[in-house]
Amino acid sequence: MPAVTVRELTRRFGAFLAVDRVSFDVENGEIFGFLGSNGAGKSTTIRMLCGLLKPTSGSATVGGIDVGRDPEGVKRRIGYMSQRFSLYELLTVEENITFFGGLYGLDNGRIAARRDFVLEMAGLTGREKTLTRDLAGGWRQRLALGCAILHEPSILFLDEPTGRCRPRVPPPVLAADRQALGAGRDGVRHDALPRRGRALAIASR
Amino acid sequence: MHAGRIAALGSVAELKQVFRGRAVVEVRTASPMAALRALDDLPTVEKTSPFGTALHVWLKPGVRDTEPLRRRLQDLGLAAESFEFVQPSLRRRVHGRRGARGGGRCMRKALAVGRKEFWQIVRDRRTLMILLFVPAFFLMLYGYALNWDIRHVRLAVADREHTAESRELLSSFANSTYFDIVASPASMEEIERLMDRGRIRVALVIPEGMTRDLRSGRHRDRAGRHQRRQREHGHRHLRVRPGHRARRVGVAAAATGRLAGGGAAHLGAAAHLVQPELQSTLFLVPGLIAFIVMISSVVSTSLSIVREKERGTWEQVRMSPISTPAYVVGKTIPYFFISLISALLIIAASMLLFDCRCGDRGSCCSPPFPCSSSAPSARGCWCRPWSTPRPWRSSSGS
Repeated sequence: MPAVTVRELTRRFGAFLAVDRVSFDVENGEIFGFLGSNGAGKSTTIRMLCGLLKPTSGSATVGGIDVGRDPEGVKRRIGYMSQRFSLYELLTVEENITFFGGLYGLDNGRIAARRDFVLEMAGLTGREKTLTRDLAGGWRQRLALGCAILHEPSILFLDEPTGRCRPRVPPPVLAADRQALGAGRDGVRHDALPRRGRALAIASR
Repeated sequence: MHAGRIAALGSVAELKQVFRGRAVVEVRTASPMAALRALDDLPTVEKTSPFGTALHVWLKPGVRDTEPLRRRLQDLGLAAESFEFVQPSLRRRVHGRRGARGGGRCMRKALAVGRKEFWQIVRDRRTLMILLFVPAFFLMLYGYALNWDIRHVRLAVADREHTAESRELLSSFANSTYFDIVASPASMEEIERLMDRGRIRVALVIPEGMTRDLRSGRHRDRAGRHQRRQREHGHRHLRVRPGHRARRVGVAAAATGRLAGGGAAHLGAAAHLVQPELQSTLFLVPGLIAFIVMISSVVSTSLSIVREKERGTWEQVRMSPISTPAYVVGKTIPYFFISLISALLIIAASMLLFDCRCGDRGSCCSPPFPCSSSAPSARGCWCRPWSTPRPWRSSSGS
């Protein structure tokens, strides 16, 4: 069974048609890239798949769960990284990790173990007490990625993960993406056209 | 318990014994969710649960064979990377039976939000200052700027008694800051005329025989009748017509009168047993605390959610499996404690600046201030009589 199944997915905002009968499948273990120009409906599709937006029509299953019927069930099984920086700037690196671990219901022992993993993956070991606002853009994104996979989701959605990085993507970000996505997860991500190279560098399809 | 039923009963050691015979297999596969569904209905499997990127399969008592699992996965084309027997902790076992909707987990999420909010508030000095000190500033502002004390009411007096007691009564009015004696009319018609012209707002008529009545104790009957009327109407008995002009002036404005001789000798009764000075500023304090708790707990929580939306952090929170009540409770916890600190600062400021007493009879700040969020208005609604009203007594009668 595919990890993600989308059939005739449609979303309207009033008279504006944002997503028009989109259909595709994402297999298990596949890193699926989503390319398109600005306003093409990539983020809207991802938001529908994550259960943040209700589809106007059509159906989608993520991890075997119907997005329209059980959006909360979908949220428990996926990781999501927004295109906007979505961590708390007034919190330190460690506090952000602890907060999101608590939000996903991990116990203290699990949070401690995952914190070490995230710090190592993001290359932030030794900077646990640094305020997130003092981190450079690339480091922030890596931390955001780490927080998105704290609960070890089987499916990961990345919405423009390198969107706020400088044009020459720092290799560690891509490496972190690969590391996160390569650990037996199915990934759906998209990047805008000018950054097509980045998406292609990660996606397998 | 699970879904309203007892799932397992006993001490930790007993529960470990219960689960001793059960084998738990950790299955790693490319598609754990599909494998979970495939293995769930096998006759040798008691239950399955996701565990990170792997899958935990609980075999039925006495079963140790993993071959049926392997075959089922192969039939469905879900090749397993590994099968490994594991020994989860008791905590994991109990959680596994309890499911993901435990109240403890919900509370943990709420506490995580509360901790996060606390860190944010502490580091955001500007917000912290606003939450802590602006309420005390408002107290100063309201205390000095807002005042509805009645002072310098234009009063006409008609003394038909001309005794030492009546003159004493008049001088107590003259010496108070509440009244300015502006006329001494000789008749009721003149009082009416002065009132119609707006020269006076109140008239005090001391009838002939007042001193005799006081000494004989007949005034007590009048005072008793007056008190009953006061209890019925809930306010001072002073008949006025629209425009605040006194129509009948028989017992008007007797509240502040005192006669010499050490004892209290009054014609009427006043039920202001709390804060008898009637300083309107002090009535503000409890209402202001209620207002501040309301602002801090409700408005600040709402504003912090709006700020999260503006900064984009809200989307990440929405993506997490936290319920709305748990999130709101977590958000409210730090603001509740901050509002308590703020309330203490207000009380301290009111004691320092306005001589507000706290804790004793007649205080404006009663102890249960943490419950102020339920106070409906800023009318000093905590100020309640701490003893039953007593009628005024005549010095001669006592």
